Amino acid sequence: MSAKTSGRLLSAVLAVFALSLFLPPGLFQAAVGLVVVVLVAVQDFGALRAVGRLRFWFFPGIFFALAPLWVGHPDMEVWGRSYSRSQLGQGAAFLWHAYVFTALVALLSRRVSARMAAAWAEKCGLRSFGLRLALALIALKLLRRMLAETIGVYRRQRPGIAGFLKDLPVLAGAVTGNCARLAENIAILFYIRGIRV
Amino acid sequence: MRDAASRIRILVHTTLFGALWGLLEMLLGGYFHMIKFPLTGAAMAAVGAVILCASRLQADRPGATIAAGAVAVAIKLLGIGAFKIGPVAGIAIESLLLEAVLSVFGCGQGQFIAGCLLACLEGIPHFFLTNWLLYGRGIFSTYLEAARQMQAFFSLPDGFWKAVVAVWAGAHVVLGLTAGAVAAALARRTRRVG
Repeated sequence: MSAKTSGRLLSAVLAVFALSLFLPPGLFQAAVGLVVVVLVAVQDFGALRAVGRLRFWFFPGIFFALAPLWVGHPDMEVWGRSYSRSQLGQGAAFLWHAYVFTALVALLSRRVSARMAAAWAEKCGLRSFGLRLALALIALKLLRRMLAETIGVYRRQRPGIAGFLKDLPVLAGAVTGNCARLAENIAILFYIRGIRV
Repeated sequence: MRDAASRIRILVHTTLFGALWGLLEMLLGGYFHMIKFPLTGAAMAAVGAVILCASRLQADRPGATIAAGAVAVAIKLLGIGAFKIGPVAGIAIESLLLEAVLSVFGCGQGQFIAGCLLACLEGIPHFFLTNWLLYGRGIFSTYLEAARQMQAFFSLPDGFWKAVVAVWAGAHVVLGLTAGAVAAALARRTRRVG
């Protein structure tokens, strides 16, 4: 699929989903949601697989299955308690809408990359974003080591959770101060090497 | 010459602070998510706001906060996970809010407190918007009805749900003010050292 077609399909999915947001929960909204799911599947079936895990839907499912015991007009009995079938239907519509939305979010998450963000940032006037990204990736290792050392020293001097939480401003000061020091050293290196930004 | 050095300094500082935020989002945010820590979004917003304020102390130029936020967004996008869009939107909105406050009103302690508070309060509309996007129209009336019925079932006073919402919103305010106080303390210390 060409980038242009893919972009058009994505716009179509977003437009159809936006329409579904303003529809009341029901069959028509569910049908519009189905269109979104089909369009997502056409573009990236992996997005549907990513949201298909049971653990995502277990707790919302329990909530919407139990809610009719308390909410809605009772029209049947379950284990001796009144139960609303119409409310269960509405809950199913909410759950289906949630599935449609998460499939769309998974599609967007899989499509949007750091490279796209860099291109977009440069387009928005954020100069040298490629250089920033490269520097950030190199600096991650240094920052991680700095964080581990700073937190390690801080914890050794303040055992227990209460001690750890009490002096959080000191920790924040140490972490940001060390980060600034690291940045200062890198800035000097950039300047000496004649890197232009 | 001096201008080139200043440009390099600002670029490197905003990049490293953005990377620090991205790294903390990955490590701390991931940990909070794993242990099901309540108010993870607001807590990470507080951490991010402090980092953005610290970055602005080092590079006080309009656009510096957005630049740091953009780096954090890029780092977040490089991480694993199927649902990065929500946190990415949170990071972007938070950096835009702080940028607006600090660019319009300057970089004082009061502005830091206001900016951090605003960044943490962003979690409140974010929650309602996310729920509307997730479940669609009508979800809030279902929530309200379920809350009313639960109140009656557990013999809780009328309007108890309002107290729960107020405590939840209050927790955002407390986190925002705490972050603001930390950022203001950093500002005092940095200016004393400077």
